[in-house]
Amino acid sequence: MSLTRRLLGRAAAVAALGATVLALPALANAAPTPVKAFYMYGTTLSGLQTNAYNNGYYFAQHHPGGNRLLMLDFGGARNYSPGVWGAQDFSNTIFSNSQILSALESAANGHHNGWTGTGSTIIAYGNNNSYMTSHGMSSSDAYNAGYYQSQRAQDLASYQSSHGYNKQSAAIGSDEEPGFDAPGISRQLIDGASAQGYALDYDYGSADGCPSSGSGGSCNNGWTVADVAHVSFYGSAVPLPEIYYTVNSDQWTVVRRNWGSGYLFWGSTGSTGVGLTPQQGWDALNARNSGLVLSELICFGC
Amino acid sequence: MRMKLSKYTSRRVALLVGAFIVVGLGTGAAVALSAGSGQYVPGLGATVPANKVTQVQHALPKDAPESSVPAPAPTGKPDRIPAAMLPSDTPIPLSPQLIHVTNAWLVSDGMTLVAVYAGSAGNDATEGRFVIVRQNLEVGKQTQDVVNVAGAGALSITDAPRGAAVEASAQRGRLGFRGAAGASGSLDLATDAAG
Repeated sequence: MSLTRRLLGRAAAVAALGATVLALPALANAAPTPVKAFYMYGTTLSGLQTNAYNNGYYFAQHHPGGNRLLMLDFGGARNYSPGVWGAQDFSNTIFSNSQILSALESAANGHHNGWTGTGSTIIAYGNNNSYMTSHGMSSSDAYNAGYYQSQRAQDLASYQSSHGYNKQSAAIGSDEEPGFDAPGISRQLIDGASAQGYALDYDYGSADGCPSSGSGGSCNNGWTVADVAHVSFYGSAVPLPEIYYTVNSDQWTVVRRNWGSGYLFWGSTGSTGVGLTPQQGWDALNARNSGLVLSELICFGC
Repeated sequence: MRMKLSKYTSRRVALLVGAFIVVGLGTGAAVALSAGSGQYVPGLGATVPANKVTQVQHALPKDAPESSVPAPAPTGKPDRIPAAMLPSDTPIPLSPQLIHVTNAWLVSDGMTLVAVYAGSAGNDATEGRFVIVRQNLEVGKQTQDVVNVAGAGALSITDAPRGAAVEASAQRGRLGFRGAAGASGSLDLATDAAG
């Protein structure tokens, strides 16, 4: 056998092996290292700022590399006072958006002081859609809550730039849960944020009660798959879905199908004490949506 | 000796040619994936819908060094929160996929915080469940533990320490509970065991 033929034969064998690997993206794409996300419990502005500072510092100190998301969940979107919006945190204290911005700036300060030279971080103002209706919020209020949530991310970005925090950026997030409130008012949060338009809006919510096959149908609390698709991919929204059990990856695949082409997962959200580890959740989603899951993985409680 | 060198060289050449083919295949696949509507964002390494490009770019770090000027540290301290049951309309951070919450209890001594959410498992209403969120407020760390009570149904906290005097001790105390199926018991926060 000539040298040329032997070379071609070996090259073909290497190529075939490589092609096999390429054809198995779930195996080729490893789940990213999960990063911590935080629930905010503060009863005073000073306490909230200190908590956020320490969260930013801790995140920077344990940064795994890459451009990763620090999600600070400030609670349910609320009217703080007429014409002023904010969030009710998990200790039952309502903070205005300007107060939340000051806490986000504290998180930026903490991240800056704790930064070790590894990676960069998107600091996100997270909220959720819980009890908006029962707190007297109208659809217009929810729209404005989303609009000014995005505005505050823009304000945070200005703060980061003016202080030379160049390894940081700003975004928002929304834990959109069908069980938390009705679909109409919940969609308004996303529509308002998209109208303001500055911030990428991570939906780290669920597709609770949605079907696990097909491309449409009903979910819990009067929601439809189309509602979940809307709050996760309309305008500036991007999906970072909670994948706690294998069925969740099936449900979100239905959501993707419902939206149609172009739908892309920005990663996933994990938890402890559930059926799947965060990495297993990301893998399950990626296995069903090959090449359509980006490398982000946040975890509350890891 | 000359034969051996040729063999190794030929293997290396074969590997290189193979690698080029693989890279070519991969690039082709990537181009095919990105051929739909959208715009490739190099900083993200992905093609995104055109209407999200601006927001994606806002989420990327700047191509500049981090300032070397230290930021101000906070002057305040984390809040002390007297032990109390949370009002029923307090936002719940946990997904209904994890737990359907019946009621919740919270305490902080300004150094560590414990929040206990009682209810039933999101995927099985017959399974009683506690989710315990703990925060080390001084170092900015959060953990979460899940404690199941098999067959108890939705749990409710019926007896819990309250007030400012127990902000520290209550974090390792006991919470009394009752399940919708009739069982009752206590959750030991020192061990996270229910019985």
